[in-house]
Formats: sequence, structure tokens, C-alpha cells
Amino acid sequence: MFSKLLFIVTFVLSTLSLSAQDNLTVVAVGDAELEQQKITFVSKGLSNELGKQVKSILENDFSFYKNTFKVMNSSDYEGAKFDDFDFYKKKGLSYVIDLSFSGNPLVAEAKIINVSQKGASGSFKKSIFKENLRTLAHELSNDIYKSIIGKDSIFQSKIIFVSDTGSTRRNPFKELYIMDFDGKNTRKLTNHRGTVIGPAISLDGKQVLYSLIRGGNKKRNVNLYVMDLATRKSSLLSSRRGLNTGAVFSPKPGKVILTLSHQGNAEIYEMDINTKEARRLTKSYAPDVDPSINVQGTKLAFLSGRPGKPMIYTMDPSGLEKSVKRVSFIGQFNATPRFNPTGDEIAFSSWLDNRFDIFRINADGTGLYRLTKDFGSNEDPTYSNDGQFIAFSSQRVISRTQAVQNIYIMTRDGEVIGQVTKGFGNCITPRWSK
Amino acid sequence: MKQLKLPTLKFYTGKSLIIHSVLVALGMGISAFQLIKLNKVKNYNLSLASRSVKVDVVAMPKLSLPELKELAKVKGQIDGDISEPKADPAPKDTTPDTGKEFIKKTETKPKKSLSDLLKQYSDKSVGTSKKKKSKKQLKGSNGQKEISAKMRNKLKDLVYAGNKINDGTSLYGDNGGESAGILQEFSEKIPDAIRPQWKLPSYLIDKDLRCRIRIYLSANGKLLRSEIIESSGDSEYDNRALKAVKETRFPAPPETVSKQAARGDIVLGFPL
Repeated sequence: MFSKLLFIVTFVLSTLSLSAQDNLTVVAVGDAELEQQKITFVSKGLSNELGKQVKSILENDFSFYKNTFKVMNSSDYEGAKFDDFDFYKKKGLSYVIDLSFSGNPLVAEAKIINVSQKGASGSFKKSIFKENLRTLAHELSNDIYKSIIGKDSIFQSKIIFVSDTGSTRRNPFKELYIMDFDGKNTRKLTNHRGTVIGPAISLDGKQVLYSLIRGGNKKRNVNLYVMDLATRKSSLLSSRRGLNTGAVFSPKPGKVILTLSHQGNAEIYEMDINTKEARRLTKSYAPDVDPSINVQGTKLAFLSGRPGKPMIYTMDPSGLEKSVKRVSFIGQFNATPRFNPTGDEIAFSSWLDNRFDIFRINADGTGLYRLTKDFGSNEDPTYSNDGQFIAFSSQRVISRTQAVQNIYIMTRDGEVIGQVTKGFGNCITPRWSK
Repeated sequence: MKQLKLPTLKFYTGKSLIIHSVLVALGMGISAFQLIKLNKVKNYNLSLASRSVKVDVVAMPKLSLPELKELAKVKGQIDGDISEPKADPAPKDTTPDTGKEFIKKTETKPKKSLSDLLKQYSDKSVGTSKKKKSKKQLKGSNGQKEISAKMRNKLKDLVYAGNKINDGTSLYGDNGGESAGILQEFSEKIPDAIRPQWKLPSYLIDKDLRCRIRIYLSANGKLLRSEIIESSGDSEYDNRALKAVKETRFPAPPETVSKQAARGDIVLGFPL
């Protein structure tokens, strides 16, 4: 009897304990956001002119990363000793960059002081020459950034763009230019006196593609050119009948992807630079234009009119019409889809509220976000090399008959950092080097 | 000789009446029982289906991303203003018992599903004749009064955000089916509430650190307790995660899973 009772009790208890088992649900919160940290560039008793310029370039560079760094005015901290960590901590600083300039030729030394770790976490030296002061300052800036964050910054990147500066109504033309990401150091690349459209810069930053519409009354064929940035020599790459436009460099060496219309309507092809042979990628009765390829070369985004309205599609560029997938389903007129460097986001412009605005969507079609609003008509988005920024052209109306287009930079979340071109005619189609 | 008492008609009618009425009652009882069972199954399937259906708002976003972030921040402030004054003057609110009373209160209000609300909105006509308009307006205003401000804001957010894909989650077979699905669904709303507070300085990011925190929530979403069940090894990382949890305004768990939420069945992984 007792054993029976014992058995029953243990049975009941064990079933109870089973039901009371911890069924924990684990939820992933995800990666943390980078906290905005206060940083300041201190240089005691700085009198050297070049040194002052370097310091201001460093401060300007870091101020682009608004969400990561808050650049503080160094005058509040110049009095302290460079190892007075308690003072810095009280002031809320996370990093203090101690700059010193000495010698002839000038050598700049930057010591990164990590306040929370109470010590110097890195030190960089750079010779500064007046002729390419900005380039060297940007290199130093990138070294500091990379030492703190661990990744390359945008400080050494370039933006190519098309501008009509200097052209008149009687003699209109658009030429290709290149500038630093911060809008300085603008240099002219082409001098065809025609209309340059659809530029692209190679991944190594050494070559540039562009299409040209020649001026004059001759029959207009849009031809493709490739230019070597070191020699500034351009050569004709494709002059097939019709369009030879929207070319982008493929990560595969020696290949470009472009839109050709010699076989009827506009389709996308992969072309070899040396053999000039073209391999067809899309086949549809509707026009397929505006190719954009991710850095790995595994995904191609393009604009297609096959559903009736221009919509964004992705495909695998290794085969004809391979894995074609529709990405956008709404929007009256979508244009210029561009991959971010990792290939998981597509920025594009779309017609909404009587103007174009920049939108961002994941490559699988989820997460559609509007990035610009009430900011003029915004087109041609291009991602920065670290995927954190988007440069685009924005049109502002000045008067009833006048409007101007300039290039702006914003974060990938739609916070505008600032205007990059000014007083340089109409600057359009920016392309950021990757 | 005993005379056989022949049963009269009265006797038979009485007995048959009783037997027939019992049979009818039995029949009705069985069919009613079947109906209840059927309805239960139907409702279960419906709730399962509604949780596994993806809802896309198919329209271009009206608000830009910076505007949405501002909206979320402002909403958070408004929600905070509503909840905070309640917390201080009534110390009773800290005990889970008061939470149960809270549940009772909400049960009396009829709960409207999102589909019903959308139907209501679509029923409202736009630009009809004056007479009809006044009638419909009355109807509309009555209907709107029933919807809480919170639900209205939720709908507004959905329209503003545009093309936001609402995840259909469940169809899990294990661990008690329906309630596990609801707990999972609720838990997946939590990261959105925590993420704005979850920030790290650059020297802690990309270090592959991971910690897990178990949270105990009251029925109105208040954090009762939080404990680190898995440490990352870096005390600052753990403290920042704890701080993010303590600063977060959690959503209120649905009644069916409030017990599990209070029991600490939800574990948050930083980052996973």
C-alpha cells in the first residue's frame, strides 16, 4: 500500500515538474548602434599655417560621421595636459587626438588618446607637403579613423560627376569631372564639347567609363568610352548602333556591364573590354536599362519596363535571364537602382508628389524607406565605399525659368550632411568610388 | 381475480412525452456541444491563420525615414507621459496582483481585430450626398469612439510607414502550440523597443561579445526583474545591455501569455 502511494506521489510530482519546465523564448535584439562619441583635435600653440590646414581638414572629415563622432572645438581643452584623463572624462570626451607639427619638411604626428582606457591607443606620423596637402591630410585622417573604428572611412574616396559649367545656351555641353568626397580638388577629365552621360568609376579607381552624345547635327549615336585616369587618355569602347550607355565596371577583370540597343530594344549585356564581345544578360520585349552590380559580382540590379511601369529587378549576371526577381512593386516611375557595396541594399529614385525622391529598399524587396522629402527633386543616388553615405543630385528652383542641380551627401538613413558642389553649373550623376 | 389495469392513453402520452422530450433535449445538447467544439476549432484556425498571414501596406511611404524616427521618439515620449504618473502615486502597481486586476478591466472592453478596424475605415464613404454624409458621419464618429487612441495611432503609423511587411510568425507545432506562437509574436516586438537604447562605443563593437538577459514583465509591460543568465565576459558590455533593458519601455504582453512573461520566459540576446 505504501509503495503504491509512493509510486503515485513520485509519478504526480514528476509530471508536474515536466510541465513546470523552463520553456524560455530567446529573442535576438541585434547589433548595437554605434554610440556618438565626443572627439577633439588638440594642438597646443599651433602657429604653422600648413598645420592649421591639416587640423581643419581632420576636423571636417570626422564631422561627416555625425552619428559616430561629435567633433568638439579644441579651444576648451587646450589648457589641459595631454595625459589629464580625469579632466577629459569630466568633459565627456571619448577620444583626444593630440596633433603636433614639427620639422622642415613638416611632419605631422597624431597621438590617439583613448580616455576610457586612460592611454594612447595609436600614433601616426605623416610628412606634409604643400602640393598635395589635402591628400596627405585625408590619409592621416583615415589612419586615425581606421585605428579607432577598425574600418576604412570615406576620407580618401572620390566622386566623379557631370557638370555643364561653362556651357551656354548657344553652345551647350556637359563634361566629366572628379573631386574629393568633400567637394574640394575638382579636376576636369573630358573635353569633348559634347554631352557626357552615365559615368562610372572602376573599383580600383584607375579607370572611368562614360557615354558621349556628340554635339552638332550629325546622326546621334550614344557611344561608350573608357578613360585611364593616370594618362587621361580615352578610347572608344563600343559604338554599336543605338544606345551604348549606363555602363558599370564588373568586379570580373576586363568586363563591363552596359545597356545596348543594337538588337532592337534596350537590353543589358556584359562586354569584354579587350575583345569587345558582348554577352546578353536580359531578354524581354520591354526595355531593360540602368544596370548596377554588387562588389562581389553575384547580383545585378536593373530597371525593366516588363510589368508595364519601370520597376527594379535583380538577377544573377552569370546567365541569360537567370534568377530574375522583381524587387519593387509600387511607384509610378522608379529609376537608377544602385547597390550598396555589400549588395544587400538598393537605393533608387522614384517619382512621388510631382518630383523625384530617393528611396532605399533591401535586395529582397523588404524594408522600403523614403530617404528624402521636401528637398527639391533628388536623383541618381550612389553609395559611399563604406555603405554609410549616399551622394545624390538635387534640383532647386531659383526662379520661374531657372533651376540649379547640385550634389549633396546624406547618411543612408536620410540625414543630409551637406552640399558638396556649389557655383559649378549643374552638377549631376555623381558616382562614388568604392 | 385482480383486474389488469390496462394502461390508459393518458399514461402512454405522459410517458412518451417525457421520453421524447428527454430525447430531444439530449439531441439538442449533443448538437450544441458539437457546435461549441466546431467554433473553438474554427477560432483557433482563424487566429493561427491571421498570425501567419503577411500584411503588406502597398503604398509608397509618405514619411521619410528621419521623420519616422522623430515620430517614434515623440510617440515614446507620449507613451511615457501616460505610464509614468501612474507608477509613482500608486505603489500597489509594483506587485503582480494589481496586474491581474488590470487584466480583468481590459476583458470587459470588446477587442477589435485589425481586420475589423480596416473594414470600418473602408466602410466610410468619401464624398457622398449631404444627407447621406451626415448619416455616415454619425456612424463613423460612433465607430471611431470605440477605437482607442492607441489603435488609431498604430493604424496611422502603418499608413505612414508604407510597405512595411508585418511578419506572419506562427505555425509552430511544439511547446503548447497557440500560446507559444503568441509569446513568440510578442517577444519579437521587444527588440524594436530596446534597440534605440542599445548603443556601444566603438571599442566594444566588432568584438563578438554576447550576453543574454532574462526579463520578467508584469501584465502592463513593466519590468519586474532582469538578470544576466549569460555574461559576455566584459563587465562594461553586460552593464550597457542591462542599462538598455532598464531604460526600455516594454509593450504590455497579451493576457494569454502574461503568466509566462511574469515568469521570465523571455530571454533577450545581445546581439543574439
